[in-house]
Amino acid sequence: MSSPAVAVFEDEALPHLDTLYRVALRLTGDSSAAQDLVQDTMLRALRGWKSFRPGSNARAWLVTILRNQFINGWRSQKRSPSGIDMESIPEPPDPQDPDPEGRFFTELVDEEVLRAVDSLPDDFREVLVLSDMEGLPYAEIAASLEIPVGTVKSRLFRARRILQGQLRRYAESTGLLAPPEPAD
Amino acid sequence: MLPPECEMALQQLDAFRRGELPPDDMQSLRMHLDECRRCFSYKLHEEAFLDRLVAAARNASCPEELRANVYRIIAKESRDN
Repeated sequence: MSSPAVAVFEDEALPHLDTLYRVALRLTGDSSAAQDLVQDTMLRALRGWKSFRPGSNARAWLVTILRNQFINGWRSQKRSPSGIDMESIPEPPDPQDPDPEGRFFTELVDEEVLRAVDSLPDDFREVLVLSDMEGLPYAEIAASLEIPVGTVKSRLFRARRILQGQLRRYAESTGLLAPPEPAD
Repeated sequence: MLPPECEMALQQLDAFRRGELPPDDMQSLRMHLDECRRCFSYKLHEEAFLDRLVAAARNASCPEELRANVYRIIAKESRDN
């Protein structure tokens, strides 16, 4: 690889290391595994650099590689299924609920928020992480995950509701939030 | 069961937040949020939730050790090829 090509690769790819590491961390659930996954991703990206079209979205391309590496080499080593019922979607908060505006979210510690994110099934977690934690647009997520934009939106909707339900239950169980009044 | 206008508002909130809603829909949603306590509360709820997710994510950044290893990989690959 020529020196100018290396320089372009560094300019295009290295600014996304934080994003890649955070996505890898949420996919693998482990810092050491995340670092290995990012290194594998960068090596693969470097070797495939000729196939990258200048002017296209390097972040989306790198996320695609990372995700493929994860599916092919990592997912099978991962934790067992979460056991979350993805068919049962909690309702949005009712104005009569304690704290319908979600002020309790600010009281939660990072570890608990991340634990709840990590407990989501892979397909839902990756959409939520890319959209709501890393700020990628729908179209970029759809391109990275090779799924339609509509699927991105529906997975995101369900992932958010389930995660909110989990965090609300945790807040109630630890006294951060009063449980809802029983219906008459 | 939510009224249809509230269902519609909840479905549009994400595009509203991203600035991806057509101008007419944006205006209609703003008017609905001014009038509907439930949907206004829900908007605040979603914002609090999303702010919390971003804050939790941003506390992690690429470790220096990983950054150094990536530079080593690039140097080795450019030497070998």
